[in-house]
Amino acid sequence: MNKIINQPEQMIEQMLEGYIATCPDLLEALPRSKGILTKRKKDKVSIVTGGGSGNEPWIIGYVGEGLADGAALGNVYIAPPARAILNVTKAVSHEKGVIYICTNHAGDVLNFELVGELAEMDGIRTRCVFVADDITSAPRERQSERRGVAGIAMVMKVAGAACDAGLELDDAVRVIQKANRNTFTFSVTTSPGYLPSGKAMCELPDGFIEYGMGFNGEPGVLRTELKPADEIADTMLKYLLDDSGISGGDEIAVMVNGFGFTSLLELSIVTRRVAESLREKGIVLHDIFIGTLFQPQGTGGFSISILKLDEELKPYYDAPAYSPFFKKYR
Amino acid sequence: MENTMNTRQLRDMFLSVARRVVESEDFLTDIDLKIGDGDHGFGMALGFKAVKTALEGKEFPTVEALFQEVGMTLLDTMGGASGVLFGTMFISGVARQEPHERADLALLAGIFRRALEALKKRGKARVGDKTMVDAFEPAAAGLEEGAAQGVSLKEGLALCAAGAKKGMEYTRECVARFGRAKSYGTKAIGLQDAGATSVWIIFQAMSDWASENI
Repeated sequence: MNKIINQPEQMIEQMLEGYIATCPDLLEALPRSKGILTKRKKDKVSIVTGGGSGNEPWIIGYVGEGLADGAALGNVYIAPPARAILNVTKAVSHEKGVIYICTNHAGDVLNFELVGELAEMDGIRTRCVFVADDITSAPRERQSERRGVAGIAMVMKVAGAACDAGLELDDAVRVIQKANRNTFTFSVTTSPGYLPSGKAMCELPDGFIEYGMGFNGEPGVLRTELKPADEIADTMLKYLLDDSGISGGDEIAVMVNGFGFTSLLELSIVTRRVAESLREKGIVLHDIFIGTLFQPQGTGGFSISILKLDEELKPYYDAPAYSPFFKKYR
Repeated sequence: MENTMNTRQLRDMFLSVARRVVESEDFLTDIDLKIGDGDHGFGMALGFKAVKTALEGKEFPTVEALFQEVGMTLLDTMGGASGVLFGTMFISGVARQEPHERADLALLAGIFRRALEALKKRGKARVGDKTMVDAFEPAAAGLEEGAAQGVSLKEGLALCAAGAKKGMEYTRECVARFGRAKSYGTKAIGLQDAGATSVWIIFQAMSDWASENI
């Protein structure tokens, strides 16, 4: 696949420069750290996120109003170095503590845990939440071992609102962990994604789809021939409801997240079936939306994320969120 | 036959390690592409190119300062899981240790043993999980064995490299419990772990340098 870049070493810095040029009043770069910060500092518990680049808008788009206060970016699909995360931590307001939110992948976990220790040495209180929503990556009884994928968008939205509401560090962590445990994601890949070099990340012949593939092409749980949209949506919902135990009377928010290569026309058809099927089952659809909030480069397919709501989570979920790449109002 | 190294010799040995790792980029990428992300070779080369720049022409007062420079450089430049883990391999063994101007086998064995224990704690991996620990554990044991038997530095480092090689080969038999390789389950049997391969390359380069220069 053809890729439009300059020098590979300059990719991340140049992406940041271009992105920030679109919203200089809201965001700024943290030079030499591949960091990004909101300019609107608030006296509250801060959220710092981070991870490998390449799944935009994930990470850069997650810093903004009602979202994270800062983020450290790694190279494409590689966790950011601890020093970059530490520099971002020191650059956001950290007097009331900092919560790290990242996806549950070995590189991210190691770096965020390490930087948590380093920040504590500088007198900054920190906590980590590792989002683990991908139901195909470990069984429910080992939920905390799951990979983090697109569901982090919903967790981040709740987290941003909870911290903006003025919750103290430990209370905010409790709410965010609840959102994390209540978030379930299942994905289907219809065509492989591409590395910045243009090389495909995995092999997936035309006419086949793979359920549960990782966003960097890790093998999934089921490969079948391509089926109609309704059948694919039904299969995904069955997995999601079986795993989460969500049933009639439960109240949920749903995100259908496209992987970049799949069109809004297709995503809308899927969303139609998801909404129809959930209503048939008597599940209360508090909100359903189509997002492109986690896109492995050039990948075909989409994921469905479900957040099970309760009276505590709902107002946080409903709070507005804004960044140029992540807008959500109800 | 010399049994100690000064910091200049140790620096030259690490420069030789850095060159070897950078040269191995494609080899590591090929191994990692089979069961990993395919980015291990790139990350290691990136880190050890920076080590080369950090060490070339510099003098280090102590063994500990040199180890720390190597480790911090890897930690800052590599990112990913490997940055933390390979950084730990060089930093954690010298943390809070009295400084030394020369290194012998016993000192190296102690440094790498403490680093190994820190690595196991941080990465939560044990021998048999198909990780760098599988090569690191027998490598550290080789240094300890050499120190206990009172062999030369050259012979001790050869024992260490032989241990690392055996450990790297052992990862072919293991099912991974971490990282992307985990999702391959038993399909990964027969394939060696890229991190363990890097550990072997590092210790083999140390041993080769010692056999040519001491």
